[in-house]
Amino acid sequence: MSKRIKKITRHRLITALWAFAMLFAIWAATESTSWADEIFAVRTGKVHTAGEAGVIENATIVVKNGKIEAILRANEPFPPKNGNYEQGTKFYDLRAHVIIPGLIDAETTLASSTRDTRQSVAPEVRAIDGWDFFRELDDELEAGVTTVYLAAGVSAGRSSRLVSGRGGVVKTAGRDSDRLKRVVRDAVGVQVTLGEFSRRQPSIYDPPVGATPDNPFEVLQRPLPQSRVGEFLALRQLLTRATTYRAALETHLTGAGPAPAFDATSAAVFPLLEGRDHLRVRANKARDIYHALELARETGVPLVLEGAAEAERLTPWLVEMGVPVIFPGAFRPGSLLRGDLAAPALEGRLDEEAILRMHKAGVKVVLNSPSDSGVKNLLLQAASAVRLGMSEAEALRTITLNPARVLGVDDRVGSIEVGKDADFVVLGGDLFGADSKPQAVVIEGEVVFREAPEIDENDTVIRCGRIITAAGRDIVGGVVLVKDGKVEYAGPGAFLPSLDKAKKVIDAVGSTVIPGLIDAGSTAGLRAEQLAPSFSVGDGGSGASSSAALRLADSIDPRDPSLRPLVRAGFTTAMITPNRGRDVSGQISAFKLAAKDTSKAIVKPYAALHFGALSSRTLKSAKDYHDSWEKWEDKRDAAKKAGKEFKDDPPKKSKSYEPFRTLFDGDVPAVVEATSASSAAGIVKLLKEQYGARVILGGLPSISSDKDFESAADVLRKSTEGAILQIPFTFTRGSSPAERETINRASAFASRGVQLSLRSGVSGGARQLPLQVALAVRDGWDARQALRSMTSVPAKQFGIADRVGSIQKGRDADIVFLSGEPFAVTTQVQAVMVDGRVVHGVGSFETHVEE
Amino acid sequence: MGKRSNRMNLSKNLFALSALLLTFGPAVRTASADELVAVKVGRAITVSGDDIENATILIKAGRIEAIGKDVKIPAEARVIDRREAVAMPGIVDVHTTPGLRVPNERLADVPYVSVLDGIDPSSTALEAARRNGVTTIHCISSNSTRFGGQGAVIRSSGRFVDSMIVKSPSAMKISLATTSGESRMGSMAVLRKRFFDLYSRMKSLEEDKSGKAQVISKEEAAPTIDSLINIRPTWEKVDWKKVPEDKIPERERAMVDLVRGKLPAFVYCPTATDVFKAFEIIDANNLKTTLVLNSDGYKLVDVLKGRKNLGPVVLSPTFEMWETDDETGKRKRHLIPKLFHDAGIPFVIQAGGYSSSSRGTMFSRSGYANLWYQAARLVKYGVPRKKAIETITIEPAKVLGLGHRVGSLEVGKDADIAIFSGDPLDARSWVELVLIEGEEVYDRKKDRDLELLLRAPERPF
Repeated sequence: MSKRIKKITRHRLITALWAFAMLFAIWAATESTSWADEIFAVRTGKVHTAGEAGVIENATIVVKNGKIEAILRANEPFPPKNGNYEQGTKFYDLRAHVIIPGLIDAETTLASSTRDTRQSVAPEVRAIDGWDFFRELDDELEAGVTTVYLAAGVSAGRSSRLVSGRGGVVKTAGRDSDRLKRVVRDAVGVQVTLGEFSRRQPSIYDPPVGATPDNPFEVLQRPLPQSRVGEFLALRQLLTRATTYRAALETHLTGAGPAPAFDATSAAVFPLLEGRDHLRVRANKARDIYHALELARETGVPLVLEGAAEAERLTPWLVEMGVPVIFPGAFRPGSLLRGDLAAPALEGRLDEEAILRMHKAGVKVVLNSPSDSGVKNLLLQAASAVRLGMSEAEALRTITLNPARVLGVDDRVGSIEVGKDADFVVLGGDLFGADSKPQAVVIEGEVVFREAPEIDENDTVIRCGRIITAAGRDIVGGVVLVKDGKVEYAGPGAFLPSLDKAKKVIDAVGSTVIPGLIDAGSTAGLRAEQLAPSFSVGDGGSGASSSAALRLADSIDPRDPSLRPLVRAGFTTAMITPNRGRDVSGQISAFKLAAKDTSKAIVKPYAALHFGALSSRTLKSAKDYHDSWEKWEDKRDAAKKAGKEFKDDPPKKSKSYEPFRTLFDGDVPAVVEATSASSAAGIVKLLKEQYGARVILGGLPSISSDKDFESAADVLRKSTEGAILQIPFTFTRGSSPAERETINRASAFASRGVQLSLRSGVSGGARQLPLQVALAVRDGWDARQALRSMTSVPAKQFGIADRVGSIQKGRDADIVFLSGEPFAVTTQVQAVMVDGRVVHGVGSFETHVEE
Repeated sequence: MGKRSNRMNLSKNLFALSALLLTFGPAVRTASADELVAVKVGRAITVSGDDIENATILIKAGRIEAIGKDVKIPAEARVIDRREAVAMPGIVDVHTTPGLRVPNERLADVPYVSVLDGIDPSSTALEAARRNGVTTIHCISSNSTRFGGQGAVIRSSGRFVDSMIVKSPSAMKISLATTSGESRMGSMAVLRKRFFDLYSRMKSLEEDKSGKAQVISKEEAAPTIDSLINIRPTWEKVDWKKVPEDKIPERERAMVDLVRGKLPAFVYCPTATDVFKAFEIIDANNLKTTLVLNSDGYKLVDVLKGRKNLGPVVLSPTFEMWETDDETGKRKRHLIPKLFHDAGIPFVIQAGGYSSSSRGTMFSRSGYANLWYQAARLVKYGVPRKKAIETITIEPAKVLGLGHRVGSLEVGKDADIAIFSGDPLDARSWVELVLIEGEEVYDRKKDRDLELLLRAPERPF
């Protein structure tokens, strides 16, 4: 019995212990998911460390607790042998991106928008006290700046105090809700401003109320001499006063003297006397700089110069004394140098070549943006130094490691090295590349800025090596989000949050994506009998005009296997055009080649009216018909307005002439075949000037001389919606090898400003159209222009740009994945997406194909 | 001098004289000291317990003698019969400036002044307070200052300031707002220096047995450079027993009381980030503090949640803040009291829209003293009704250290009662009658100014 009880008790004890252990485990588990143990890795394309290691290709950065735990090279395995990593370490794939250290802005007035006039010499003032911890620094983050120096009592271009206080260093964002943790150094440097700006005297006179012997009336600021002599006298006095005070304290400590009264001003400069901090002198004139150097030499106080427009004259002094200089960059966005170029110091400007000469001579250079520009662009300043001849690595250091060292925070920031804070910027292109905008910024392992939006669970995510949107700049290392068959977002996309929530992720990091191509004139999916010139669906109207009602697209099945080769070539939309007639030949429809069903296939049933040639008789009849309707409608509207009853019968409806009403109203354009420059002019004269229709000219096969190009381009540019070109885009002329000359028709028109689109004019053969274009590109046509001719230009000409022709928000997700540059001869179409469905795919894309 | 010994009283006589000359004294029915008063109401909101229907409150010598449904009314008692009305404890205003002609001394550093020298008992602001059921007022200098001087808790009614005082000095106003031509940095440097100067001064007054003054004794010194640059007074090293009281200058007494914990501080933070500075000053000098927040206080919820020993904070009169996202252009609404309530941070509230320039609001029902309305808005923004009423009664009373005297209808407490025609949080209700220590200090039927106000608005629309 007792044994049994004992057993139960023991059992209970074990249960209790077990439960306790479980609870502990749960507690420990919850703990480990908190930030304290957070660890993740970033696979990169390239890392500019700004440190000893230089540039590392294909490195993996491991981040733990907000610090850089390891930087693994391409051949090092993950997890590393001696590292303590769990299996489930989260990876971010940034192989299409370039990583640089978080930038450091060595000079801002973020903490001191108002200046203090209380005291001329006040080193006890601290910039950190003027800093608003709740201020959002979105502009700085967007520019990749992760650490900023806060100047004390200095505002751009305005008067300041002689000694305005001590600066501070803070991060521009943080992962901790405790914003005080964003402070990197709460007091650094003693800010001195020399020159005109500090010689204006503060004029505050505030006698205390009820003066008593221990609190007498007094002028709070004693006037200072208003000259350089006076400034340096005040500075020397400050240092002497501090030295004396320190000596008095030491004497008192040995018991040999009375205690001195506490002196906050002196105490604030004690680190200077010990050489633990620097005097940060803002001066432009060479003589001011010289005397600052003299003061530093005499007193042994470390010196940092800022502004320093005339510093070049003192290069040997600066090199010998090892004084770093913080230059405001010479480049200001949206403004050119002006004023008296002979005396840049008067303007507070700097000769940009002087910076480089000083750098080459051995001066430690920190680059900054001119403090009066709104959004600072440090990358641009460094890039402009590279332009003048600084090496990339050195230029990067002028905005990362150098300022970190000057500010004494290089133990934490300034380079990507093991043990430092995980502060880095994810660039889209290469460092200093034209398209290298920061796509994401990380501070202490936390993504504090990113261009990509949150992912919804219904999104399809396409991660791309390069996006050519055909609606603006290219995006390197971007992402396209697709929702319900439409593009939701297309743009930079490093560090996508909630990526695991996405319904589908297509990895196209090695691919270039372009909008689905548009064939501006095609007979795809049609059978021979439908293309017979006599084929008519008219209602017995007179002559050829009856063809105007012809709409061939209605008879095409989007699942027709004959369309597949076109899709595989990258075409997603075709302008279905009837065979050329002697007069009007029928309607042109915008048709999707791989839509799910017919209702989705027709983008625009009546996008243009096609003419083989113009017949003035047809046009006149059509115009009469249009006018009779217009007249009747006007009468009806007038009666309605007057509130009268309207009983007139409408004119008789004609199926053949009905399309002309839309044409003459300007709602759709006419596509007219033209052969020569002079026929082009004639067509425009008749159709546009007489009937007010919009015109697109098609064909133009016989134009080949420069003169003809010039006159045709003139007509096309001024009076039309552009031209639709068909092969050959280039041809060779001349019989003997010496006379032989290649005419590039596409390039000739496009370079003259003509809106050009391209058509195959046939059905199956269209699949070779991109190759024909590649030939024209090889012969000198601009590849981007060529791509626009097959995407955004035809979309605009036919009024379907709101649906297709570009990759941007709200457009149909018709996207082509290419293995390389578009129109490179070897470039392969890897996959094609229509309305968000992958309809064709090879290689790794095959798995994404939906039926 | 008694309670008022700490203030500079240059103009006291002037005030007394002006008070005598005034003809519009508060409409008070003077009661003899021992008079028994029985107030019968339809409902009594006791705050300390459940509401009592058909309650009788028996008042003796200005204190609540009994409260309940079946309180026996002695034959000699004067009966105030308001059985259609609702009684609640007199409302306590925790932070305001009524009765002061100028809410701030122009100088920023005047810890030695007292609001008592500025209070005008005939002020229309006090009239407005009574009209809104406010019986206890913490009157303290406004926020455009640094060391703004000492406040006082007063009754909203009385002929002379002396007779109105409940507690003086009540607290020191410290404001982190900057004065003109001054930056936050400069202001903070002065604040730090002010405390450190006081510290070295007090330290210098310390006398050893021989009567010789010492500043830094050898054994405690170790003045490393860091300890000197980080000017932080080490108050625990001051032996107050060794500091002779009579040697403390008159002007410093209030400051000394502050650092010794005898005088609490009300620290005003004009922006959210100033709270960090407030914490530095508070922690460095062991100040007993009530924080006064501005309208961006909603940003501080996380910060305040993590703060130990945080008493109730005084919220800005603005309860609703709209924030526009720069990127999306979307506007987001922050309901400040709800955020604080949900986070479990205790708070009290201020009356809305008072400022020295808005004189037009003085006569109105709202404006200066509209705490009942503010409480109703709390309910609208999601604070439970019970808590909303506590926020204008017992909570501020506790903040002022008067939880044992006012803020609820309990036996033994001051008979400060506001009687509303209906529910106090109903905008249609009027304050019918106000009693302070059993005396009727406001009766709507005799409120001539209110009649004028209702007849013709001071400022036509």
